[in-house]
Amino acid sequence: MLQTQFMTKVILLGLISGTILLAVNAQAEDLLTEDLLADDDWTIELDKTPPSGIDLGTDSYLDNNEPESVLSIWLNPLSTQLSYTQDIDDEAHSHLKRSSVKFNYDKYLNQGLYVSFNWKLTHFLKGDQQAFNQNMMPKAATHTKWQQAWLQYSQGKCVGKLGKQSLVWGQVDGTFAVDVINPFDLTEPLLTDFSDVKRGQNIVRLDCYDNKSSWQLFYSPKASFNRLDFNTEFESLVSQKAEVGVRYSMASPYGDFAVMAARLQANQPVPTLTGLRAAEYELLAISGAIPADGFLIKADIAYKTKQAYQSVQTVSINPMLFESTDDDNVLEVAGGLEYSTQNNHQYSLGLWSSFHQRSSSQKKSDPVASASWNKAYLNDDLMLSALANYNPHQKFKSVTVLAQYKLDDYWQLEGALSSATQDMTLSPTNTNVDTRATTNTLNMNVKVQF
Amino acid sequence: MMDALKTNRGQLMNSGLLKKCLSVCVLISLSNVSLALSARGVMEKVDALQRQSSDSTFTVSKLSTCKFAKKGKKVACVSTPRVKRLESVSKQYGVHKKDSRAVSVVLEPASDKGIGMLSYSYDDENKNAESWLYLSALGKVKRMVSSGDDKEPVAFFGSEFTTGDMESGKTDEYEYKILQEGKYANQQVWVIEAVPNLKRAKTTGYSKVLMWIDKEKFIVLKAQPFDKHGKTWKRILASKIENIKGMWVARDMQIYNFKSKRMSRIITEHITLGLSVDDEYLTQRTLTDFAFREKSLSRLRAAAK
Repeated sequence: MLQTQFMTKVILLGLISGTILLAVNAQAEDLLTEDLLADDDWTIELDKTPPSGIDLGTDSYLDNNEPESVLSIWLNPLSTQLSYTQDIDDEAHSHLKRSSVKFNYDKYLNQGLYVSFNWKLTHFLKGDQQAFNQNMMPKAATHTKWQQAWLQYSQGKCVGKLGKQSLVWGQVDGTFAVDVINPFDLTEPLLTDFSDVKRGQNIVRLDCYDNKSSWQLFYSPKASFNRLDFNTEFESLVSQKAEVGVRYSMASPYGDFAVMAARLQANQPVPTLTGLRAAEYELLAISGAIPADGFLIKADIAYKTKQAYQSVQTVSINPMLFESTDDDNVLEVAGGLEYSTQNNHQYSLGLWSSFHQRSSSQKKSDPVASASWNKAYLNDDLMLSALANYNPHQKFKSVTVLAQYKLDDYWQLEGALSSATQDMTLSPTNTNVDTRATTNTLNMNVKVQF
Repeated sequence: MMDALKTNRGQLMNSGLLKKCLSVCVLISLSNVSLALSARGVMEKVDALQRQSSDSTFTVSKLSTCKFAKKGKKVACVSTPRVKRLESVSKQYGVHKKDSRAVSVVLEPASDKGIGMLSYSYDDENKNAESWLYLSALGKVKRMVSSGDDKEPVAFFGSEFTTGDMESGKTDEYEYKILQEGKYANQQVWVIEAVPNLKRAKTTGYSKVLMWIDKEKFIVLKAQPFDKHGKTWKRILASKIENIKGMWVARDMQIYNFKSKRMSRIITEHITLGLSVDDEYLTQRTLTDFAFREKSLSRLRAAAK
């Protein structure tokens, strides 16, 4: 009797649960008013050629067996960029009016050989400051430069690279505590490809890899100098020294790290009573990028010997006459923090400071702080950025807002609005602000690349 | 005695009937339970096959995006498409092949040519994904801020595909249910509804996704994500399904965004599966040692279909 009652309860429980489950499923199906298995009520006309004549992509990719001609094999790696840049300040003056054409060629030859060339021609229009510097009169000018021209050979775990090239060290973007091998080309404006801001240098370099670590050796027989303008080619005024260096780097889940040592030549010669001088110095540095809880922490620490500095005593006597009679050892530290929000706003903070060893040095430290933001909009067609810099020692601050818009795969428009303020004091020992100069500039650039 | 016999006979009869009833009830209950399991089982198999097709794989893909319009029953581009071509090598790692490493290099357009990306992703929740980017303008490899699961998916190269649409191995973040079974586009399919769990719902913009799964090939023929208001947001269609080395691969994927009226199409121009991919290729060396990269890719391109 008891057993019967128990079994009856079990049966009822099973029936009830089964019924509930069936009812739930039936309800789900009832909610679907659309027949999910019906053919889609549309067909895709993918072979239709849009107004521009460029096809979205047909099915012919599977049948395209036409071999490339010899000419196209050699011409395909060539890309060309045309651009025009102009600025205008708040007094409606323009110091930047130039157009340029840049050719880039990258090709794998065979058997581990790779070649790359990058050549640029810039035409400075009549109102451009560089045209005036070059001609000492309002007249157009033209300048060409080889930015890159190198040959790379890879064999086994090592690769050699020979020719005019850039060698970038360090992790913290926008700072140059460690990134000191290639000098600057200060004739290049704000809205330019970042690769053009540094001058290519003749280097022979060897990299050997072992899983996630690598060794790098480089040698430059004649180091180049900063280019301030086309009238001052330091290479013809100062003897160029050789540079040599080594770097060990490794990547791990905890971060990317590198240790560097080099004997370098200063990129900027300094004037002395006896003429221009470019010191040779030693560099010992470490750098790292560490991911931590959605942040990226970056640091570059460099110890540099024999860095030239201006004596305070000399400057106060005669501002036009200064002498870097003493060299000082300097510790440069650059730190950066990057963060990306949930909706992909990207922020970064940076601090770059140098600490001089000797107490008689004009400055014990010279910090520069920076902050930036950027985000992509309109399906990555529009990139908006903002960058702020502040140097309390130099009493300089600037803010730049930048917009880059891609019209299509070839054309790009760029605009940058900058505001820079420089406070000038009577002398280095009198910190009262004498004058404040503020410059507001709008830079515009249009380029096409194909 | 007769009463006793009747009682015994009754008991015997009741016992037989009882067993039959029990069996029926258990079967009904179990069949409903197995339906729910089956939906997850199907998706886990789909995911496993997708990861398998990404293991030791070389692909050349063409990604096109344009605004589209529907005229009657026809859909066509009404703007000049934006085209990107990418060359990628990927490999799966780990015991369950749920960790992955991939290198992608942009071939076109000229403005983006040479951009290289290296990414490591892990199944372990305690390990963040790692990624590096090489830009020729910078001249160095840049480590990127790790894109954790708490970030909103971003557009894949400015297309309508998002990183969320492209990723795999997240089956435990959804609840699955089979809504219908039958014939669709001449294939027997399951129509499965995937609803994100609380954690996933915070980052995805989809309230649910319907998927049409080929019963024979276990690939997604069609997917339809819905927005937070329950309206159809996108439609993803797969076609040109081929069997390559025993694995079914859709070489043509299209996505239509009904809100932005934009569509994207990924065509796999060349593909090779089951390659012998050297682990060294999936390191930062590939981003900067162009000679090494091209030497390795030459071999892979020759083997590509």
